[in-house]
Amino acid sequence: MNIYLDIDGTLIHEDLTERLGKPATGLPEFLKAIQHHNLFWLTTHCRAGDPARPIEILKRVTDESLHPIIESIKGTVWDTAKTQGIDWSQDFIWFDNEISDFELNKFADARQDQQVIEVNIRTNPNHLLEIVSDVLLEL
Amino acid sequence: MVSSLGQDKVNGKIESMKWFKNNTAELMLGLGLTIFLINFFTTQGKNEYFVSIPLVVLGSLVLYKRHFIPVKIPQQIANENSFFNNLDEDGEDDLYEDAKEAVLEGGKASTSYIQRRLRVGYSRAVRLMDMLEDKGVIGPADGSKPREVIKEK
Repeated sequence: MNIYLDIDGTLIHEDLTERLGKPATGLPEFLKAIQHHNLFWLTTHCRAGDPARPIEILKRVTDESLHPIIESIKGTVWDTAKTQGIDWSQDFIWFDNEISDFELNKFADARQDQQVIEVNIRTNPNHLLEIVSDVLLEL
Repeated sequence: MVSSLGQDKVNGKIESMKWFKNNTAELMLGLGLTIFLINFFTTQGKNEYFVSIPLVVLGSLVLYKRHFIPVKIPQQIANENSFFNNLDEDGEDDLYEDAKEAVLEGGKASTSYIQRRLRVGYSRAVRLMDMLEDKGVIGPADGSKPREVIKEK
């Protein structure tokens, strides 16, 4: 399955507290759980298809053992809406903390296995761990 | 999201475009009235006002449309964003039974699981979890531990 990943507010904290820039709890477990899927970035750090910047950001806050997984994440090309970067001919899950109404509306006609999961590590710091046990292990 | 310098520029342009889009009517009305008044006072009403009339009329029409004609919101977005739209007369979310069924069937209870199974956003998944807890279907949150599913199918 294709898995699309945002970074800020999804894998790394972006709230203006002492957690700013720190990896979310359960990030290593999350990365290990998705490693055998087709991974893509869907972040403002990668709009033109070059995954170098998001890879660099995530490698900074993760253990070296996880770097091969991070380096396997491919870039996407999109402009105004992240849904433009998604391959709609395939099943996928897109993890993001902020989905616009316009993007959400694109899912009205989506297939059952084309999903977006809204991640909220701000109010639910263990959200990635929850996703690993309740979503990713079922894939 | 944390933005790079380039992203800030793009966001700035988008904000400017949004400002013009949101204030087109006021700009047209203001410009039309200004032209009309300048014409009126400089020519003592002898001049023609053909430039100002379309601006005033168009501006007024856009303002009328904005304030008096309701905007149609796609049903999916309305359902997702309105707290009350999804509630029945008893104050129960209309996906409550589906959420209960999913939790009892899977033996799992979390916002992510509800999102995955019912294709809803985070806020609604949290609300469904609260309802399931209130009705004793699942146990209370306990740190990072998974919620207990109390009732059996």
